Amino acid sequence: MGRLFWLLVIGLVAVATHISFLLFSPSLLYARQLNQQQVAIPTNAFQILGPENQSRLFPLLPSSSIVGVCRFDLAQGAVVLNAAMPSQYWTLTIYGRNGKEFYSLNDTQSGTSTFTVKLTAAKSAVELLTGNGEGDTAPRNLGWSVESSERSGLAVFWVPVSDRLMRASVLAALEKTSCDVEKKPDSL
Amino acid sequence: MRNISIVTVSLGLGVLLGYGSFVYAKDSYGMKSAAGGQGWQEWQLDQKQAMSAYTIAHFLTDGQLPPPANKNKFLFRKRDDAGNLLNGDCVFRLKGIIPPARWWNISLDGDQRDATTPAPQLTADDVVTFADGTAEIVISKYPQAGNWLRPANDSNFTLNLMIAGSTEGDEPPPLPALTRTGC
Repeated sequence: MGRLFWLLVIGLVAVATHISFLLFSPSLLYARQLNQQQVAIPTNAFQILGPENQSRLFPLLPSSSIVGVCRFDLAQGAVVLNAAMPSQYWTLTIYGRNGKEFYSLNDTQSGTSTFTVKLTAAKSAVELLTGNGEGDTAPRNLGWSVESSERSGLAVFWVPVSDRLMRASVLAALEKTSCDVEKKPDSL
Repeated sequence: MRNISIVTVSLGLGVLLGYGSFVYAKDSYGMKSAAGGQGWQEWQLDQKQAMSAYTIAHFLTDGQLPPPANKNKFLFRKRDDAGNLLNGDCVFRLKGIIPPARWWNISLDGDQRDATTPAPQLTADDVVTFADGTAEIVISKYPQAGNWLRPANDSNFTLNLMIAGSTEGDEPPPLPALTRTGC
């Protein structure tokens, strides 16, 4: 009986440890590595990754392709991505701090190569109940609006490039992309 | 005293078992055998799939991000159809129709390749296919006529096939076969 009890304890502790590592360790380890290794990625600014950082962050993406990133932080307010993509296949994927995708788009789905995505923090349960945090709800011609339950994360623009001669023109198109904290309209 | 040591050993064993099973699961359960091709494996990136948590854990614990999943498929294999390890000293022939997609890429990821060296690769725009759409690519360290991929060195390598913007229907098409033709 005693032996069975301790075997049960071992089993329960093992299951709890397994679930804890699965839930918490990946995002903690990733955030630590991102802070330690990729310090070159500024917050709320668009940057095209160099080959080394691209290979480190996305080892499965072909090295010939072009990856642009925006490391967003919604603590200072909404973040607006003004995308200027080349006229070919591309994807935009937005990852939360925990590494999960919560928004994705490609050229066919967007139907346009220049567009805007506004990232806002999702309202908390308290804000929803109290009606606070409604903020500025005035409609604007801003393209897509995405609510993120994560306060920070990474928006990744990926463009495959086969021909080296095309690389310069694709880079020139993608470099026009921007990522900024939304400017508040002047109050009247 | 005896009870304290039993508690300590039980907790320690439980933690070790839990951690060990997590490490094993994140490196094994994030991928599955790809439909339509013997020997091909596929990363489970669709977050609706039960095991995708392990895929995400696999990448994040190495400081990486899972690649964009939207209509993209990431396939790979370490052995040919007969079960031989892929090695830079041997010659392999990849033959078949690449599944319909907006773009695709075939690359070789060697065991000893460092992150700064680009992987040998061919893309949808590089490969010349037969009239029926069949592609034939020879993987060899010596120059070959036609579509040729040269491994970075003589060590073992992984063959990656990335299918971007997949346009396949419900029935997955057959994947290209890989055979060893010489060593």
